[in-house]
Amino acid sequence: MESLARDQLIQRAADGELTTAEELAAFERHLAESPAAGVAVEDLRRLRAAVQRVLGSEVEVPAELRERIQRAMAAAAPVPVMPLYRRRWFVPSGLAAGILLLVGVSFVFSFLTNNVTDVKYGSGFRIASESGVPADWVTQSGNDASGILYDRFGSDYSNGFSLKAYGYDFKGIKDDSEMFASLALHYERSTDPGQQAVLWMVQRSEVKPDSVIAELNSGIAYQFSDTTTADGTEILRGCLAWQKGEIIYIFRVDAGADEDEQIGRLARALGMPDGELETIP
Amino acid sequence: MQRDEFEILALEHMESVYRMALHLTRHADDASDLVQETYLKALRAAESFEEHGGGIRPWLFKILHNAFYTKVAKAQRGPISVEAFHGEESEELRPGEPIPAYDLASLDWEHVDGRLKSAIEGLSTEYREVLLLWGVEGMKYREIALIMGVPIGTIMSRLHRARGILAHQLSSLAREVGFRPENVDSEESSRNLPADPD
Repeated sequence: MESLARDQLIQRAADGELTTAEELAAFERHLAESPAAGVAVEDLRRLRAAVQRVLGSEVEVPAELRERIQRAMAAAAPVPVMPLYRRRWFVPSGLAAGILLLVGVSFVFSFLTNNVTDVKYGSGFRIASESGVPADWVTQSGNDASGILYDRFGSDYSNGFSLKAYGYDFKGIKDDSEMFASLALHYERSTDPGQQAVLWMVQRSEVKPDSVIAELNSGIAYQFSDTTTADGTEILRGCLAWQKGEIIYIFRVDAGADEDEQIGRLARALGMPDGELETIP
Repeated sequence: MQRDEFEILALEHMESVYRMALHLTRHADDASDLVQETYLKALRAAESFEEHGGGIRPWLFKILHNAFYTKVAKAQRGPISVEAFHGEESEELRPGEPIPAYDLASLDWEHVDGRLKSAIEGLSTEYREVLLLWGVEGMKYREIALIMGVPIGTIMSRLHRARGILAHQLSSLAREVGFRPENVDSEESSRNLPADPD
């Protein structure tokens, strides 16, 4: 065998690049003829291991860089449509609308007081009122939310949180002292703001040992039963839950029973593992 | 691929991308800038990314590679060095160039690692890059060729040359500590080895 071909055969054998039966047979023949070839292959493999050790040591991505990139990626999102109140035609129209609003507000007010537990929140914050989260959601940009999530969870959090592609708009992020002292992300359905979703996120290390969510295992998707009183709160009923990395996620969607598939899609977009749901009683 | 899915996939490899940038630029601040540029370019080109079984990592490395060498090309104002000129010329494998065979298992690995690191740092950027993609990222020749934008044959010759240089450095170390490389002829080896302590 020609010297060049021999050297290339040894190189490729050491690098796992021999793929065809003919190449493997040629290498076996060469090994039989020249024991030094086997030594050369082993030396190349040891050299590779040494290179991996020397060059492959863990590098810590500067926290500032990671945050900078996440913010830059979030900032690259499409520019929102100019708010209505800035449009020129709005001013005269606004006057007429204002009159109508005054006429209708008493009707709306009486309707709301008869249909929600806490009129202060209004129908747009049903989940907020039930969970005890204050209704003063601050609508924040994706940039700000990214920064808050990174500050709270650091590199543990690498999932995106946008559900835009699934028809839900991100509306805000707040600390939720009622729900495991978590961060809560609030969404509203684009076509129906009355339909909402909330994702609660808490660092596993911050969960009390006797809490039901302390026992979640990574890689499994859970659902709280419809009758659960786990952790003393009914808000968990029907919620999905999972653990990814060191973060526990609880997800609730205000949707009808025929939209279970949609709920599953939303949850998987937020990182819920595939597979059968395990029920938490 | 959905935008969010793309972001998740891409950000998972930030450590690898940063490590590559650090080895190419050899400067933390430059590496950070290069990584940011890479991710923004990747995001702008997200729609063109297609999964071919190798994942998103080779694609990100290619963007990083192109971004780095574009900067290098812009920064170069004068003629290239003679060494760089000859380096480019000698890409072709020299026939009959042997691969030194010696038993590395008997060496003190801590000592080897330090010498190996120095040897790698002394290599040209192209050789360092191919070693990183091969040795650390575990990429196949074909993937490395796509990333670096050169034929597979060029990748094999760069790898061969880079490994040859490193092997030579380690072979020198082996001789220093009294170990005889198998492919050195006996006359030469008896002339160069230190005296047997026994």
